[in-house]
Order: sequence, then C-alpha cells, then structure tokens
Amino acid sequence: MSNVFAKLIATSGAYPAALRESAGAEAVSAALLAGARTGRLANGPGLASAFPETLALARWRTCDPVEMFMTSDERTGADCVGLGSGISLAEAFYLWARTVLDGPELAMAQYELAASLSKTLALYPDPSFDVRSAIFSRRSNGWLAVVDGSGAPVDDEDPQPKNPYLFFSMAGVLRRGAITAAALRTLRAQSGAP
Amino acid sequence: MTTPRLGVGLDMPWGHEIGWSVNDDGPSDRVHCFLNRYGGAFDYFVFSFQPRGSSAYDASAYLPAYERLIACLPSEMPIALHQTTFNMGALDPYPRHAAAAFTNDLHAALGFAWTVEDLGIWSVGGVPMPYPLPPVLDESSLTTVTASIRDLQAQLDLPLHVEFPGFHDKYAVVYGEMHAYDFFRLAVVESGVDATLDVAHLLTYQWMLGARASADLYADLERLPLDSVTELHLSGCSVVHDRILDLHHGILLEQQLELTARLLQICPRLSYVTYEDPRFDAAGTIIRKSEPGLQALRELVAGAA
Repeated sequence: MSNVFAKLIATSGAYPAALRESAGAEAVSAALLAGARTGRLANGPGLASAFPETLALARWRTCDPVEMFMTSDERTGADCVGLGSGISLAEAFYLWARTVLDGPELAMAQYELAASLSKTLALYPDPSFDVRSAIFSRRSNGWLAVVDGSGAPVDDEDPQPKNPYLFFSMAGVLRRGAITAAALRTLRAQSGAP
Repeated sequence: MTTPRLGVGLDMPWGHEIGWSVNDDGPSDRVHCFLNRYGGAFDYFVFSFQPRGSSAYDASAYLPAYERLIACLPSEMPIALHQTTFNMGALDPYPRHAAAAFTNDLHAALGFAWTVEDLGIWSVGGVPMPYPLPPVLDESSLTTVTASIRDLQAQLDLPLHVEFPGFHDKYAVVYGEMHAYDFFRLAVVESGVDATLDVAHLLTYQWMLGARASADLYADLERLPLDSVTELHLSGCSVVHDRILDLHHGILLEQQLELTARLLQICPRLSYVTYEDPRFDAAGTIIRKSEPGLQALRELVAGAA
C-alpha cells in the first residue's frame, strides 16, 4: 500500500487526518507515484528517464526508491506546480539520493542530475522552479553545470572537481564535455559565457 | 431571464493534437482547422490553461501562442480562460497571488470576458493531484475556502466564475458531513462570485450518493446557488458498468441534456452554455457520434432564448 497521499496530507497539517482513509486515497497515491516516474507530475522528464542508473543503484538499498523519495522530507522542498519558490522534483530527488548513496554511486546521481536538469534549462532558461545546487551556476547566456568525470562526487556546496565534466545549456542547445581544472577556473573567473 | 449563448471550450495541453503546437507557438493544425470550420457556429470560446513545460508563469511565454489562436476566431468573439492554477479548494497555504498576477497579465493583453475554475483541491504541498479533488465538506473548510475565493476575486481584474467540482469515482477522496450542493451554495453566495455548474459534475456527485433513477439524479437542485449561476459546462460522459465517467469525449448523455433543460428553466441569470472538449478529426470535423448531442444542446439553448 502506497503512502504518498497520506504523507502529503500529514505534512501539510491543514487537512483532516481522516482524508487519508478515503476510498480513493490509494488510487491517488498510485497516480502520484506514476506521475513522478513518467514526468506527468512536474511537466518535465520523469525520474525513471532522468535517473535510470541512480534508481538502479538505490534499489539495492530500498525496495522502491521513487516511493521512498515521494514520502521523504526531501520531497517537500519541490514545487511541482511552479508558482511557489521550491526546487524541481529532479533536484529534490537528488537530495534524497544523497541520503542513501555515497562515493561513485553519489557521483552517478550528480551526473544524472546535471544531465537531466541541464536539458530542462536549455529549453526553459527561466524555469518555474529554483535551482539551488552549487553544481549549477547561472551565466549571462545560459546555465553551467559541473561534475567530476572520474566517478568521484563533488562537494555540493563548493564543487571543485579534479576532472571537470561540464554541461552548458543555452537557447535550446545543450553542450557537454570534459575540460581541464585550469580551464574551469578560468571559466568561473569570467562573468559571461563559458 | 437572460438569453443564454452557446460557446465551445477546449482543453489545450502543449504538444498534443488538440492543443498547442510547441514548434509553431500557436494552436495545433487540428485546432486551427476546427476553429476555421466551427468558429462562427459558437457565440464564444473558452480554453483551459495548461503549463508550458517548465516555463515560468510569465505571460510573455504564452501570449504569442494565445494571440495566434485568437486570430483564428471570428473578430470580436468573446473569450474566457478556464484556469487550473487557483486551487480554491485547498486548505494549505498556496501562492494564489502569483496565479492571480499571471492571470491579470494575460487578461491585460487579451481581454478575457471571465475566468473560471472548479472549486477543487488541485494540489497539496506543491504536488498536483491526478484529478482535482473536491473540497473538504465541513464548516471549517467552508470558512477557509470562502475567504480564498473572496481574496482571489479581489486580486483579479476580471470576473471569477467558480465551478462546482467533479466527483471522480476512482479518486474519490471525499470527506465531510455537508452536502456538496450546500457547501457550494454557501461558498458562492458568501463570497459573492458567479457560479458555473458542470452538468456532468452534478451527475457524478448524485451518482456517488447512489442515485440512478432520474428523480434522484435531478434531485436537490434547489440547494445550488441558482440565482448566481451564469454558466453551464457540458463535456462528454459515459456510463460503463454502473460507473459514470466524465471522459470529456464530446458525446453527451441523455441525462446531461435533461439536466441542462431543467437548469435553463430555473437559473434566471444563466447566460453561457459551454460545450466542452469536442472530439474532431484532422480536418477539424466534429466526430459523427457527437453530432446528435450537440444538435440537441443547440436546440435547448435556442429554445431558452
């Protein structure tokens, strides 16, 4: 039995607890889980296509990573409607993945976050959600995301990869590739385009 | 009594055959053909807001497409916006001011005649529901919801119509001791807005309560805010294995037409009857199965004029 709807109701604190026992609560939970997997929930790529490797890795630790995420405190930071000031479902999922993965597995989650969110930012440079991870930085002409290409996770607060791998999103185009640490430093020192 | 007019409404998701074309930044070819063919056969046009991917709620991201759609309509045809972001049935905090500001920006450019939304819980804690849930049917919820409607209308630069919510049998998250008609009447009357009755939504509620016979399906209408009703919605429904399904497939049930006839008699301010979500082919021609129901609706509205 899925508890996604029950968790939402409990977290909001504004609805009668008995709403969780309604006849349709289970069906709502199932639809929300499906929406998170496919992308219907947040008008973007679903977690299944954005994080295929991360989900496979997390499955070793939890029976259903998407359900675990959707009932976690990390989920509450996401604003799938887009009118508030929350982060994307993808970034919230990454924050959850960080609680169950580490080492090269966490690096994979960072890579998949950078790849999927960069695609979205290429299409929607002014998105309906906040981007808070320091892996991403806004440039005058697009978005930059940097992870480590050698399989080591970067520091989320201050990413300093030894082997930088870069995603650059600009006007509908996503470019990616490895660069040197020196080139990344130069890039970051510039205020404009990479 | 006012003279009702017949309009057509379309849900317009981005990237769908019946919706918005992402590449052309305007209505899809199919919608274009439909409006060319039938635009003059209706008195007004309503379209439902759908978010454009992950785009911010910025009118400039939507207006080029909306303006191309309006260019397909007969000159001076009234247009209305069916919103999906007001979330008036919600009890948790919700940035409704942002939805109002966005709607006002669109209205400033396009001059909508009104905006309308089902009185439902569209999202909880930033998570959209698979189908708008009905509001919690108790006194405490009524107080919150009425205040939300009143505040929203105060923020909007155009009239707000509040629509009776649907009662989806699969997502039947229903709680509270109040009759939904009473809840809706009190919310509408106390907030001072105009009401929209979706005929299928009324039927789904009575069906959920166990009604099957005509006398039961059309019961309790006096509990609705009849003096506030300015608009009806009719979308296609089916009854399958003792379930009533609000499928929006354009084919009207006999019960919808009968209930419409009754409402046309007892709602003194009823001015707009919206035929929602017709199905049409690539040439824009409404499917044959829908024609008898649409013709009957046309005659009902003409007869009430």
